[in-house]
Amino acid sequence: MTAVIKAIGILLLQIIIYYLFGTMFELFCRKKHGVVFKEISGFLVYQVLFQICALPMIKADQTLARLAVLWGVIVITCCIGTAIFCRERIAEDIEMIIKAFFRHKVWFLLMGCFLFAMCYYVSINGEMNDDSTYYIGLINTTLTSGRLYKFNAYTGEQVHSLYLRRALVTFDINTAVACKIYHIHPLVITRITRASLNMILTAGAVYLIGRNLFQEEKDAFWKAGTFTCIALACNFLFDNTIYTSAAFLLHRAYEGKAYAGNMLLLFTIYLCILYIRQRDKWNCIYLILTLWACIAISSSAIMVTGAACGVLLIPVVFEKLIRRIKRDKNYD
Amino acid sequence: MTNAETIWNVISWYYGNSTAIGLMLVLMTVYLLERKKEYRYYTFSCAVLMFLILNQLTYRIIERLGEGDTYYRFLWIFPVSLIAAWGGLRLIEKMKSKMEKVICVAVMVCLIFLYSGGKISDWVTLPENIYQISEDKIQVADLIEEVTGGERVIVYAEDELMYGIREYDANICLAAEGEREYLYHIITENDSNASGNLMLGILVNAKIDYIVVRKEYTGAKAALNGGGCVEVGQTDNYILYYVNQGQLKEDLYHTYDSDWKTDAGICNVEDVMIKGLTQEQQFLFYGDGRLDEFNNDIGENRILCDGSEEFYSKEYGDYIVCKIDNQSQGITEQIMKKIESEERKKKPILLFLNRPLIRGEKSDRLLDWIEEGNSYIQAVYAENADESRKDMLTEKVFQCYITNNVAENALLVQVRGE
Repeated sequence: MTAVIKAIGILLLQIIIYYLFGTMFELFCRKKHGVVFKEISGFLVYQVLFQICALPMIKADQTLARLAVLWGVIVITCCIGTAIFCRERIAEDIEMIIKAFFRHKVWFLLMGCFLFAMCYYVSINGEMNDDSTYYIGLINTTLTSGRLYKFNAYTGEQVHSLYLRRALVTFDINTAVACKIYHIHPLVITRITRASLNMILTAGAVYLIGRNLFQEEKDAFWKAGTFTCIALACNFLFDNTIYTSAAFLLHRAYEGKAYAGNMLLLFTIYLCILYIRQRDKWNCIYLILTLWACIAISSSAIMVTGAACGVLLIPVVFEKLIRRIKRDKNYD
Repeated sequence: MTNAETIWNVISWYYGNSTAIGLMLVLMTVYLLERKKEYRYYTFSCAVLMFLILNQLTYRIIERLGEGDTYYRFLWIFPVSLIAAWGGLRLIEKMKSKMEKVICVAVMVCLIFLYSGGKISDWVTLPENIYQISEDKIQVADLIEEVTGGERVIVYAEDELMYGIREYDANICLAAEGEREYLYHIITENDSNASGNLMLGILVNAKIDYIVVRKEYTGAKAALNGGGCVEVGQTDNYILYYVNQGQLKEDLYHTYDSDWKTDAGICNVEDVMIKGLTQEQQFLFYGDGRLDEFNNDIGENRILCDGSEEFYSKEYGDYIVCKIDNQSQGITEQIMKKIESEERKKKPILLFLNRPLIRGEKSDRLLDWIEEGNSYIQAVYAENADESRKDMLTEKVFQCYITNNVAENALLVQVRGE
């Protein structure tokens, strides 16, 4: 029970950290976003910064303990810096959340219950398969050996070269660092904290899409909430094969691939929709951030989100091209 | 997703029995999105997706690039859950009263639950433990941790037990190379039929530190003990054996180089484990029935019986050694009485015989006695067998058949503590 409480506590702490990272990035972009957007972008910034920090250390064959210390210092510095420099924005957000809570108590209550149920489901229904043996094995191997990517996750034998496909993926090392800092077992942090985090961030991304789709309609807040709940519930509808993103979300939510097929992909779609609507260059910056974070999270993520970006933005390019041709014709 | 021939295979295998729903949602999207100007982009995007990625040519190219197995992940791009939710929400909006809306939501939830084949047990059944791996794995991993003090060790066990055990304890390294097939057969099929020499070779080559075997597999236990593996702990369902690589290598090299400090030709080496034994002892059992005490460290042989006695026994601190000449008379009533008197000492008995105990060959008295389950006989070593093998007489007692019938050659039996 203590481990479960600890895992939930870590989840809440991580959510606060991601929010602060999101706020920090927002400060650089000089653009205001909602709390949910900041939460997701904060998670992406966190992963990108960790990758920048971890890759040279992996290359230099440094220990996990050193990486954990370095990362701990960076996170604390960033959080304290953000709390000081962005205190007004943070205060505004807190006030906004409190106001929204008192205005839509039932909405918050229902959403809270629904999200809790979904997090509970993914936490207790984690599969044990080849991938979990590899990913959680890799985290545990890193934690136990104190070395970064130096031992085979399946057998524990020393490896002489890095597995090229995963050379830039630092998501699991990040989990190992979290285990080291929080003194928690990899199985607990992955199956409870990481899995629930994916569910929460996916819900956030769906909510953002919902808000965007229904922004001009009456009761957009409620509709976006209902949309989020139905969309998450619909995952059960597509959970009949092991391949769907829904199956990954419901049974392997802690994996980088599950983040890729759900949260990252949906956030990419959201950013593309925003770009199609607003043509704002900052959306491109967030899109680049997302793609970069994909590299750090999963080797599949960059393939899938990259393709999604291409698919959604090619029409924009076509549209621009058609407009230019039309303009040129008119000019002639 | 392996063996998918066509893009349609990929799509239908991806959605499974939701393929119809997936296609319906694609059509619905195209239909609905076409009606709003901005949404035409998305419809066009779907077309781009189909044209650029979801086609047979791209699939073939990606397959050639070695990513055919993960190609299905491109199908994640089509957000079916979102579209289904969007359709569902629009349906709810069509309802006029609140009651209708509530009923609509309830029906939707029921349909989703029924169609998805969801089980209530998925929601109410909690995992065995916080780690969500079987209790057996946790017990075995904890035992290894306790025995080794958290050292990095190579462990061998049935796949079912070892699968995912490194998720729990990464100090447990798995033996992936070396001898696998026969050793795996022994520990999973409860096969006792492996000579000590063979086990020595297998265990040394496999570089294994510990072996885990199911408790009820006493045949595997006999084979492992014969090769020098020592039981170091038990869980509810498994026994942990320590493979003393240093000791085993030494024995193996002695056997390969034939440099045991004795004039006898060692035809086989068999180890036997006695619980709580502190003083190790070696015995040489010759083809003519002679039994010697032996100490390889100083190269000393001491004859216990020259093979002419019908019955011989010697009591050691923790066990008894009995030698019976059953070559011609078999197990007579007199011999049985002598055995029974040894049994009364309630110590494990190592029995050396000139002929194996075989039903119908004047051995039934002793076999019946052993099978009754009250015997303290732990191991039977029998020379002059037709073939070399090791069988379980009962769940606990094994008989080692040795083909040796040459007076100069001997079986080396090493009694060790467990």
